[in-house]
Parts: sequence; C-alpha cells; structure tokens
Amino acid sequence: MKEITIQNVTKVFGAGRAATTAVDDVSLRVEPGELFFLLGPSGCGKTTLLRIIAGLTVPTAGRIRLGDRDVTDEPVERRNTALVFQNYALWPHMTVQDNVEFGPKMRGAGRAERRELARHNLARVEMGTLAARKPNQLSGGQQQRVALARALAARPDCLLLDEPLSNLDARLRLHMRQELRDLVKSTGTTAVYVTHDQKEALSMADRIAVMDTGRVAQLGQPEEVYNRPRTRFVADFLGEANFIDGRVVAAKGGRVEVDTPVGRLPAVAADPAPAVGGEVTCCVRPERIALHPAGPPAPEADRAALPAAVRASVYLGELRQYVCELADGAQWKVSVLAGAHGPLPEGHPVTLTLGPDDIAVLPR
Amino acid sequence: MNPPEEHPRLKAGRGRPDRSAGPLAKLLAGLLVLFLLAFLVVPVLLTIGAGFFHRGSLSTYWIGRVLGNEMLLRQLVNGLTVAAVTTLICLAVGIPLAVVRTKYRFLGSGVLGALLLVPLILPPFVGALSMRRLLGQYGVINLVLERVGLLDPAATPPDWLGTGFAGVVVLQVLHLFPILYLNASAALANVDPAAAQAARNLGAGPIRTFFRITLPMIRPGLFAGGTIVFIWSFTDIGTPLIVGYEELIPVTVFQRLSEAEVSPQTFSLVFIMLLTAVSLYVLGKFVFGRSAAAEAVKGGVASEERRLGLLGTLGAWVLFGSVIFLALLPHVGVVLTAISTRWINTILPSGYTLAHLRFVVTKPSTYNSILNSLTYAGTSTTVDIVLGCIAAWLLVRTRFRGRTTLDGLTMLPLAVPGLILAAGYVAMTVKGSPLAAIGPGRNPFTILVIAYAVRRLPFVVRGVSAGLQQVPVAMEEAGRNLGASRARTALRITLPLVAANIIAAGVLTFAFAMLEVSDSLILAQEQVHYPITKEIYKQASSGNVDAANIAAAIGVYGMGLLAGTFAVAGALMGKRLGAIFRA
Repeated sequence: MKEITIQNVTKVFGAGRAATTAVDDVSLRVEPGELFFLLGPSGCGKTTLLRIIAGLTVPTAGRIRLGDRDVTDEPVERRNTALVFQNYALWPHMTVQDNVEFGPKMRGAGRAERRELARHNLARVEMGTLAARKPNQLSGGQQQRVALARALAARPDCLLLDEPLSNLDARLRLHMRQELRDLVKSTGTTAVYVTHDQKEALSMADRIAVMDTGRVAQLGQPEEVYNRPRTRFVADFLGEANFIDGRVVAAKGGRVEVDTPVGRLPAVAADPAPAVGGEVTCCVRPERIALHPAGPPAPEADRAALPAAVRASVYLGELRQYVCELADGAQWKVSVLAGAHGPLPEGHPVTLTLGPDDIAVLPR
Repeated sequence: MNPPEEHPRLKAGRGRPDRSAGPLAKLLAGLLVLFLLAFLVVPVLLTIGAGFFHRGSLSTYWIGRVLGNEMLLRQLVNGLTVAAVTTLICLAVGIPLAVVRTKYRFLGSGVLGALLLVPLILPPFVGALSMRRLLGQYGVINLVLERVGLLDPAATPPDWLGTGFAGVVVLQVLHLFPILYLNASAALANVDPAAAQAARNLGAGPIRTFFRITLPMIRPGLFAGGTIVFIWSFTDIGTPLIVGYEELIPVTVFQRLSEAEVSPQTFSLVFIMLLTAVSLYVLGKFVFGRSAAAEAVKGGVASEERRLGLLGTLGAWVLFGSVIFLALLPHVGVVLTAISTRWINTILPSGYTLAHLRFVVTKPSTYNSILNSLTYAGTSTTVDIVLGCIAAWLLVRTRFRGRTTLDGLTMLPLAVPGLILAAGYVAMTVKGSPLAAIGPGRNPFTILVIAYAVRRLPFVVRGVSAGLQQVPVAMEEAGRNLGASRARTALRITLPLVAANIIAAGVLTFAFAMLEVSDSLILAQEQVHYPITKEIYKQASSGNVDAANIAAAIGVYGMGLLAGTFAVAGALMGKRLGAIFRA
C-alpha cells in the first residue's frame, strides 16, 4: 500500500513534425489504498500515463514515485506494479496455475509459497477449480478473473488496470464493477484504473482524473466531477448536460447570478468565482431539472422557473427524457422518473425549475 | 458551441509500446551489421567491383557492354521467365493444397501433409539426374506410354524436357512448391476465422470470400514464399547445368567464372543479376509486403476444421496423391538408381544390389563426406539460430537507427546467388590476405560454416520474425511487469511461444545446408574436407560405370539423414508436428 506520485510527466512520441504529445505535463498524487481512475476518450493519454507508471513507457520528462522510491529510472521488472492488460495477455503456453505463479516466482517465492499465493488468489476470483486449464479454454470473463488473480498474486505495491472490463459483455461488466471494486479495496492495494466508460468511473472510483488531450482536465471525487464540472469537456464527457451562455451580474457569499437569454439563473460559484460581468456558460444535468406539467408552481426564492414546451419524449425504462424548448428556442433535455406523470404530448406547456445547486458555472 | 474537437496532436494511438533500443540492443545490432558487412557485402563487392573498372578507372563501360549484348539480355529475360513461371505454378499448386490442408480434416491428412514436404530434402541436382532417366527421350515415362499403347514405338519418342526450359521449370517447381505450401499454410493458420465468417455473413460466397478476404490477408505470407521461390529459381545453377539448359544468366556466369581469365564483363553481369533480384525483391516488398494481420492474436478464436465426408476425402487424396506422386518421382528414381545394377531402356531396373549403398559407408572418402556435411550443417545451423533470433528480435521488437540497414542486410542473401558469394570468399581469403587462414586452401570448415550460415540466415530471420509478430507485445510486457528481467522474459515467455518457428527454421536451415551446392563445390577443395554434395558431384562426374549409382547412393544417405532430422524435430514437437514446417 503505497502512494503514487506523478510529477510533471510529459510523453512525446516521435520527433520533429511527426511528434505527438500524448501526456502533457501531468502531476497527480494517488493516495495509499486509493482506487484512482484515469478517465477520458481514446487518445487522451490515459493509457500512456498508466504505462509510464508501470515503466513500460519511458516519459520524455517528469518523475514517478512509488511511496518514497523514485522509480523513474527503474526498469519495469523492479517497480513491483502489477498491470492487468486490456486483452489480459495471459500466456497461452502456460496453465492458469503457472500464469498466476509467475509473479511470485519472479520475486523469488519458494514452491510452497507460490502454490499458496496462487490458490488464495484464484479462490479470491472464484477460479480455483480451473487452475489446470490453459487460457484459451476459458471464457472472456474467466480470463479476466485469471488476469486479475495473476496481478494480485504478485503482491504489487500498486495495481494498474487498463480497461479491464472493456472486453466483457454488458451484463457481466455491470456485475464485475462492484465485484472488482470490492476485491481491490479488500486487498488494500493502491490501484490506478484506466477507462473511457464514465459510468464505470463514477460507480467505482474513489477519485477520478478526467483527461483531455494529454492533460488532466479535472480531478475530484465522482460526485464532484459530475456535478461541478470545470470545463465543458468534462461536463460533456461525464454525462448528458444542457448548456446556456450568460453573463455574471451578481456575486455574493459563494453564489452568483447569471443573466441568460431565458432569464436570470442562480448558481453556486465555481472556484475561483467568476467576476461580475464575466462571460460564463451554465451547465445543467437533465435529471437536476424539476418539470412541472400543470402550470407554474409557487415561486421560491433562489429558484428559477422557466416556461417551456415539450418537443419530444424518449422512454428509457426507469426514466423518461423529454426534450423541452425554452423561450429562446434552446432545446433542453429533462429527465424524470418514468411514471411520475403520464407521457406528455408534444407541445404540452411545462415549467422547468432549478436551484443554484443544480447549475454549474463554467468559464467561457 | 461545437463539441470539442479531437486534438490533432493526439493521434498517437493507445499507449503504444516504447521500442527505442537499449544499449545492448544497439551493440548486438552493430555486431550483426558488422558480421554481415564482412561476410556478405565485402565478398559481393569484391566480386562485382571488378565490373566497374575499365582501364584502371571507375566506369560503366562493362555495364554498357552487357546491356548492349543481345544474347545476355535474352538470357536475362529467360531467367525472369523461368522464375516467373516457376513461381506462378508453385502458387497454383501450393495454395489449394494449403487451403485444403488447413480447412479440412480427413483420414491421412497428417501423413499426406508431411509427405508433401519430402521434395525439400532431395538435392535438386541429384533429382535432375533421375529426371533425365524419367522424362528423357528413352526415359521411363515414354516407356510406360509405349507399354500402354499411347505412344507409337516406331516414331521418335518426344523429349519431355525439350530444350531444357520446361525441364528446368518442372524441376524447380517440384523442388520449391513446398516452400509456398508452407508459407501459405502458415499464413492461413494465422488468419482470424472471424474475418472469413464475417464475409460469408455479409453474403459473399465461399469463392468470393476466398479471393476478396482470405487471399488479401495471406498476401504477406504468399509474398514471403513467392520471393524465395522466385529468386531461388532465378539464380539457381545446379538444375540448369544438369538439365543442360544454358540460356540462363547464372549458367553463363558460372561458365565464365571457371575460365582461366575472367573478363570484367562477367562481373558486371553479376551486378546486373544482383540488381534485378534485389530490385524485384524491394518492389515486391512495397507492393505486397505490407502486412495486414500483424496484430493477429495467437490462440484466440479456434479455427474450425471441417471433417470431410467420403467423397471429399477421396478428392483430397487424389489432389495430394497426384502432387506427391509427381514430386516423389525423382526421389524414387534416385533410390532405384542407388540399388540397381542395370537400368537401361526398361521401366524398372533389371537387377538390384546393395553394393553401392555398402560401398558408400565402407569407403572413407564417401563416409567422411557425410560426417563433414553433418559437422558443417550442424555448426552453421547453430550459428544461424543464434544470429537469426537476435536479428528477428531486433527487427520486430525494437526501433533503432540502422534498422532498415539490418533488415535489408539479413534479407540480402536471398538475392545473392551462392556462386557469387563463394567467388567472393575465395577472393577474400587469397594467400597473403589477413583472412587466408580460414580460406579454402587450408581447412575450409570456418569459411564453409560462414557461407552456409550467411546464405540461410534469411530463413531463420523470416521464420522467427513471423513468430514474434504473432506474439502480442503485451505478453512480454506482462512478464516484465511481474518482475521478470528481459532475459527471463525472453526465455520463459517469448521463447516457448516462438519455439515452433525456431525449430522449423532450424530444420529448414539444416536441410538446406546439407544440400548446398555452389559454396560446397567452390570452397571445399581437398577430398578430406568434401561435404556430401561435392562428393556426389565428384562421383557423378567421375565417368565410372557405376558413377550415377554411387552418386545416387550418397544421395540416399543424405535423404535418410534429413528424414531423420525431420522425425526428431517432429518427436520434440509432439502434436505440433505440423507447426514445424510453418517457417
């Protein structure tokens, strides 16, 4: 259980005109025992950063520390990280047992100890009965478990996971999220998890670093990055959002008032708070908007009420999402629990209300 | 506002592996390049250099003389035609066999598949001797045709070998088609079955699927085999010499090289020959060489082998059987010659004896030649496997300055005829030169081992590279990540995964070293140092009554030894016997 310190790490691939900056001056600290997520679209540099931690990619600049140890110049095999590869990279010429025993063996564990470590970790992932199989005799989910057992059996200082669930089918993926989180947390190992699936990150992470074009766009706990995105990119990437531009007209006690084409919106100020007169974009998640189908509700202080009309309606099972047209013609998505009120027909007039906690203010 | 644009700098792809070479890799690459410069480039330059000097100064005079010579140009075109026709027939024979063998299981498919490879182990120039007996004007085929009444005994029987062009092509095809079959099989085995299934699913019939999907995907494999076959048949001297077809550049070069005074024109001829071979190779590499399936994963989806019904099995037997029958004819001819007392104008020999076979093992000179060949071939194969594995690893897994140079140098021997290289070695080790000590004037062990090793290096590099490309880098990274050093990862993970390729390449290299002709003829100058091929050549051209029989008898031992090697390799590989041959 060690912390991971990433200091001003940059990675440039190629040289001259063909040079591409995959990781751009990233500094992060992963706390001991933390399940830390690197989240971002493909090409954002998250896998490169993971490989830099593992030592499989040499950074162009910057330092990596595991605990007190500066490992930047240490070769892969001495870092004591264990990486779970996206395609698992199980060795086809070895049995499951041999695959899992490999790490302890390389660290000099005796035969009995290796056996015990393999048995324990295979049991942990419920693969104890298949130890004699070869990897290609296993299903995708089983291979994934073996890959995890192999990594854990090495008793690493930190566990690195490169989209470990991306090759599983949706149901299994959902099931494995909780299981994987529980498993990793039960070992107490510091873990860095790379994914492009925001649901996976939101539901599993202690903290998330959202990456964009080689940089960390935002760092924080799941609810924080979801509800208080700092950039439009983060807001967009983590889920659905409605945006509207405006100008700050008042700022007081951590609150701001923003004048927008649809009216004045109250919002919790971002950090740092935008100056009065500043141009900003307000971001509202569809599920944070209250929809009133039967006329405007009684006015509430600090709560905006916007008249709108239903333009479309999509049934999503547990939710129903309406597309509502506001006064200025902007179309907002609004999610309500399905069954809260019957499906509203197109053109139906509604009132949308929202409070300062429902609105995030982004710099423009 | 627009959605955020994808950043142009970030087309890097997901966490690609760092391949910049470490100091050890650079050192190894440097040593390999030095070795190849010393024993490949220098001898070749020594040989062709002379073609660029006219009256003491650098000049293209002799090149002009060659290009202005109608006969030489015709020989060049003939050579290209022989090579092209040979390659095309090899493709036409090899691909269907490979497709049937990889797609279907049938009774005896293992045995038939192995028998297909037997032609590789017959020294082609010994085969040529028996081909004359088989296909000549008074050969066995004509006698059989007369017997069954298809040929009028009164008329002059046709000479199937004709002017020699057809004879050369037939012999080359019979000897070389296994190379294409092996490459096609290997490539087919590595194609993800889902690719073809996807095409079928989208409505393509089996034939369209094959031509539109499978064929393009195995193109790199076919290219690999096709290049070897093309250049081999383009530069071979043994077969045309025995068949007696002299309208080919290599034959002219060989004849002129054996004259007392060699004109510089000959050397510029060698240069043009080299240039043709090398540029064809490069051209082919650009057009066909780009590998589409480099990231294919080994041991992923199991391909489905369909079991053939009775009719299908019969069809497969006829297909394999006829090819094997034709390909084995020369071998049968050689064996029969070795054990016959008299075989003139009869379909089968009129008397049999074991005397020739006994003679070979009792006479020190013939007996020694077999031991010599085993030593030379064994040593050179070991050298090749070491050098080839290092080169393949450097080429596939690392990026360094001079990588292209190393790549080119390791493949160059494919384009350099043994004849030219051998002449270069002689020039390099003349009395007074620093390398005289290893020259053919003394014990030719060193120079022969180097010659064999250099010439067969491409097979090992190719074979092992192909294997390495099939092993995802992540497999090795996983090993390093779990605490294994580079060396241990190589030993515990990479080596077992490419073992089949290494053994296959080793067996092929050994076989080719045992059968090597041009270096052996030129570099082994004393009887005690003769390898098997030179002894066969000496016996065959001795003019004795039983010359052909003795030569054939030595050939039989050679074939036996090689068959033994294949068998041992097969036993080592167990079930994966088939994988051995997928170099």
